[in-house]
Amino acid sequence: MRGVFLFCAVFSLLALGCICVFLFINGVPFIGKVGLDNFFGMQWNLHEASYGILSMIVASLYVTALAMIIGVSLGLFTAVALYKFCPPKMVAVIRQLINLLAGIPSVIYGLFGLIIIVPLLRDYVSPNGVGYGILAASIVLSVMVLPTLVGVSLDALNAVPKNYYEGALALGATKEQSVFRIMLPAAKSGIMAAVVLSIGRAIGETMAVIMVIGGSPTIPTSLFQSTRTLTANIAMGATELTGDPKTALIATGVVLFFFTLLLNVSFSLLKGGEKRENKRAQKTGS
Amino acid sequence: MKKLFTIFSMAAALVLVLAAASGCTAKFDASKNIAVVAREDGSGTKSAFMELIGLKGKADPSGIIIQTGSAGVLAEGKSNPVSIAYESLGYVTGDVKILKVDGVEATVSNIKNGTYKISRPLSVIYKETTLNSDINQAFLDFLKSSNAQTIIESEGFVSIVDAASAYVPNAALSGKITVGGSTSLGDFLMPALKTEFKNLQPNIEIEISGGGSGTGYESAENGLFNFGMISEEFNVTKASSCVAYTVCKDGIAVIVNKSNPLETITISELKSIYDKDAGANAIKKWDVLVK
Amino acid sequence: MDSKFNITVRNCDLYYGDAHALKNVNIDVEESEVTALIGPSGCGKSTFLRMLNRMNDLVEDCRITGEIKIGEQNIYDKGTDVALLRKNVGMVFQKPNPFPMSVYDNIAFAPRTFGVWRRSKLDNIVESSLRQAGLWDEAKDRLRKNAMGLSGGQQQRLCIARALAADPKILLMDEPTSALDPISTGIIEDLINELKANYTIVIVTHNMQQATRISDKTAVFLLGEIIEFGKTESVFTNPKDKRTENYITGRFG
Repeated sequence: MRGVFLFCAVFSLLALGCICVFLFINGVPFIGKVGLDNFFGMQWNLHEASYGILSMIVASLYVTALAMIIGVSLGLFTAVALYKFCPPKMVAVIRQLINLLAGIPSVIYGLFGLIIIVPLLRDYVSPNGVGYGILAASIVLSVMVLPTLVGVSLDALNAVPKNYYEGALALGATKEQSVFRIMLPAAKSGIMAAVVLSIGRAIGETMAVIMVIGGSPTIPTSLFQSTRTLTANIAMGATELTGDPKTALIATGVVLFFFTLLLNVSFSLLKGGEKRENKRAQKTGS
Repeated sequence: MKKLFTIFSMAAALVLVLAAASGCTAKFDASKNIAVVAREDGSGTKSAFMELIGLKGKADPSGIIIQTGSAGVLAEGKSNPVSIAYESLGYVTGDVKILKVDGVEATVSNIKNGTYKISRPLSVIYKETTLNSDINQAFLDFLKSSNAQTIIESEGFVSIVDAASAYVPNAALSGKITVGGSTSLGDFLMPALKTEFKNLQPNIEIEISGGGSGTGYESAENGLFNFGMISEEFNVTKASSCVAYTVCKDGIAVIVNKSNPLETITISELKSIYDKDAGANAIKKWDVLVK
Repeated sequence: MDSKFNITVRNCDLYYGDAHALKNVNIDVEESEVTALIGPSGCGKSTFLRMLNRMNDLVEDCRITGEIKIGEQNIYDKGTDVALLRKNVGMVFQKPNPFPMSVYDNIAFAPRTFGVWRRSKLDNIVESSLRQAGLWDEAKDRLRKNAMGLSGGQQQRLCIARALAADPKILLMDEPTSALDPISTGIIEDLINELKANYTIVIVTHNMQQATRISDKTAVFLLGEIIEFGKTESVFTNPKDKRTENYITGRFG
């Protein structure tokens, strides 16, 4: 029986190992072959053997950042609203509905973006008549990360000892002041966890983004311009390209992999820093 | 706090109503930029189109909107009043408007007689050795038969086999044939042919997969498919040990939104729209074309 | 706000749902006095205390009838500014609950809530509150350090300082020393003796000796009613109610 457990544990490690090996064995030599200026250049033109992914890196970062700004604002306020400003019976219902959002497949989000968001932006918001681009993708992504942000933030808020809230109220603070100045800051680390999880989701989302981002491999200089993210680039060519272009996609995967790694490492550092601070706070003092 | 909540939900409701409304009232505006739509790299339709308008092997102009698959292209044409796109004639529906090219309408007869310039062959490619198998040979014979030509024409494609004879079934044949690649062939035409073939040869299974012309080339070459499907002039360098049989011809239609008043477009105008190096000649706004 | 801050409670009943937690409570709390509330567990002392700064509003299904006045104002009137009420009627809880921030920020929280942001003014308030709470000497060198690093007794004094920073007129204390060691308890009892010159204090305590040590008046609660109320000395040496005598002598409780 122990062998079965061992095997299962090893299996996940094996899968990770395979993915890493596959990415690196194919991708890294390719980057060496075409050179760093080519690969991290601005031009992605398969007919001229230019495999510059810089424009796509910028687009990915841009989209993720904007999605987080929209998503965190929306998500935090929703969580706060559910925490203290909603009748308890409503809270359970709304929470369930928001969780439903988490179960919706990415491609449906893409359709939602394509059918509702893009025409809306194109006809009423965009200064240049284009609905696709960073803004459309960020809006769709922010809705996708909402369940995580709201759920984890709400849990973090609920985990803060209630006597802080009581203490704040007893000093003459209003509900809003107590929540925003005491409870939210106390829930900081849980909320950070939610944010980092969501960043991971946003940067890796492919299907929904592909449908509303436009697809042109140019560097985005406007919120309303057809552009392409790293994930969209891979998915657009994965089944159709062959040879060098295909290997370029694998190399793109390597870059994405590093982004994810960076994210996880900074998250651990953040958590570690907090833990150290808390330990210090408890040790010092008379 | 409650006030904020009410204001917010009302704003959201307003947004959704606007969104629904905008879908129904798309209006053409000649002063706007042309929204140029293309297929993804690796699409046979794309490489064929670009080659036919004189931009062989060129990358897209910046700001291009890429749609994967014909459904996406048609949806964009239907909903975006200032779009222009290209798609296989066999797939174009009544939701969009088909432009004349150099004054010539995109019809089957115009493609056959060559006056409609933007057309390409849809072919299956295979290794010569594939035909050693009887069932594969039977399939190829079927494609040349009058049964197949009937299907081809009813699907809106252009038959190029004149005086075809009826297919002679051989009940002894059984097995599986794999066909994969271009979606232009694979979405509707090949399945229709498959159904007809099944009626004639009930014991032969045909398995159709997609992946685009690129996959068609690659998988025919490495033997993964018995027949690869491609939607451009056969480029032997992409599959050096294969040969091609042209199943039919397909026109590539230039489509615009129904509210667009434009009726015809020239190939040089198309080139100026789709050329990333057009420079001073680039056509960016609709008012250049629509007087 | 009125200039008098005595508390007048008349014919007050409190219900938690169907449970009748306080029955026909009548009591007068004078300014600048320490009034102790004693009685066995679960008899409504804390409930009564929380009524005085409307902390019971946080409990669902809590109904109150009767009249509770601070000065001339019935605090359960429709138009009452509850935040202002709680500013004027501060509360110290049984278990010290400093906010997870620096000592300085804990104390500055209340004045900041009321619009005081100027650094110099806040510094003054922080120092004076800490001095009044007897914590200045121990805390002045660690104002920016996290309050969670203080000992239990220090944290409770911090909570007292924090409540004082809001400039209240009345201080409600819910068993403030029951979670502390004897030395810290002694320090806080001395504190209460000093504070009563400037504040009206109502303190719930389980410790009868504490009541005798620090309070001027004592009210005895039993099963939601006040069975005896009067000068502390006479309540303990000459109780009028038999039940009071039984409780004091330890026959139950």
